[in-house]
Amino acid sequence: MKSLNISRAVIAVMLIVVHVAVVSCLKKVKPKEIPLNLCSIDIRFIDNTTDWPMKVSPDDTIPAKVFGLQLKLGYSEVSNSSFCDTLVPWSEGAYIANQRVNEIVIITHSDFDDNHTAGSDIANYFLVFNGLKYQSFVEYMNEVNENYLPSEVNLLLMELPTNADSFQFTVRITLDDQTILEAVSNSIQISL
Amino acid sequence: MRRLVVVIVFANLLFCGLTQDSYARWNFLPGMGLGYNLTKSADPYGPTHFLYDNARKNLNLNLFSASYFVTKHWGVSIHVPIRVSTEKYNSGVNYSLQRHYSPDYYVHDGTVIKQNIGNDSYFFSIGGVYRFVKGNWNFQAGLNIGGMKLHSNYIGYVLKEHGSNRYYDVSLNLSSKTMLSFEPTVLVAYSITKRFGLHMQCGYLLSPSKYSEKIEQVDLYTGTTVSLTENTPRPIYQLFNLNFGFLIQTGKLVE
Repeated sequence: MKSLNISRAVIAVMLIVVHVAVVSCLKKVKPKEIPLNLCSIDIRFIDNTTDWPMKVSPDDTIPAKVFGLQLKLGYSEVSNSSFCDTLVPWSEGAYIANQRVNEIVIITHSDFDDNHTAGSDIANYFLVFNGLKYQSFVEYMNEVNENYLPSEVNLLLMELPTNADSFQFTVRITLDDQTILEAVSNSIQISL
Repeated sequence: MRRLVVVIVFANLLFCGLTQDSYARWNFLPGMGLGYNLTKSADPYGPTHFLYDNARKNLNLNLFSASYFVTKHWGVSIHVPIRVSTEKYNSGVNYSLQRHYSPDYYVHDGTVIKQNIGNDSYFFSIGGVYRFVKGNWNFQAGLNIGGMKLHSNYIGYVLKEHGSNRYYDVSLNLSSKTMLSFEPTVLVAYSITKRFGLHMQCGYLLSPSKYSEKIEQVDLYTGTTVSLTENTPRPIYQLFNLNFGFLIQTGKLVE
């Protein structure tokens, strides 16, 4: 009888040890992190009249007060840079940014206002709204990349042009590894 | 056998209660119940009205409720309840805000992003009470005068202006100071023994309350306050209470 009790006690202790070991192992398992490089940008136009920005065709006319640029961002795996895709499966912690954004330049091809003639950088006129506050594209990307990689970013025009006109923009993003990504938008008619 | 003992003891307790009208000096009324807040917002369609709605149904806990009878019929009562709202903030608030701001603004993402909605209220009152005892039944009517302190509520959300790239941060504050209250009450108790019984109490609390409402709207692009509304509505605070509990009578019997 005594040996039976000892056996039961040993089995109970072993079960506890196994349980602790399994729980410890599970806690230490982290999702595999896959570093991605920003590899492409594409420009679309948005109409931000309502609470949900709508993509618009370059043939449309957009009021300046609700105008915005939507940047579609493409990513590639560091280990396989030949494949660049804008569709990043959202999985916090699984994909991480391999680069930081150093600068964005948005060149207007037409005269925007008295201080910004054709060829000027008007990146300061475009801001991202993150749900709580406005941020520059650089601030937004480097902050949001701590958690996930956005596949598109809406840049809202915060200052109005002097005249209604057809506008075209060149967007140039410089990354901290000196990679430069550039895209030229279609022309779009902006009304006042 | 055990059942027989219980029946005999219970019958004996009832008999004790029936033997005579008992007018004890002290009546203690531990118990709890429900309160329903009938207060209306000064602006039933304003953005703050749901802050009033938040505390419609309340759970009453009598921290201390007692009466001291100077004479056979007349006494002084002290009542210290705490009331906790049984309602929680819900998505109806978002809908209510959206409806208020439409069509000029949208509540961004349709959600309130910051909230601190309290749900507890504190009361203290003292007053006079008249009682009448007939057999096991104890009837009391009183009028209490006191003070009360209601919760302060705060919520914050972001508005998106229709037809614009502008977003605004909005904060709503609703607070009140300690307010004077009047509460007529009616109590019916049934004595199981001379010293112990059960009670049911109804009360209708009224207060000429003074709230402080503050609504501030800040342009998140320029950082400037574009709208600041401060109101001091004076709705009549009304709370209907129904409490249940025990009646404990102590002290000498008053002849």
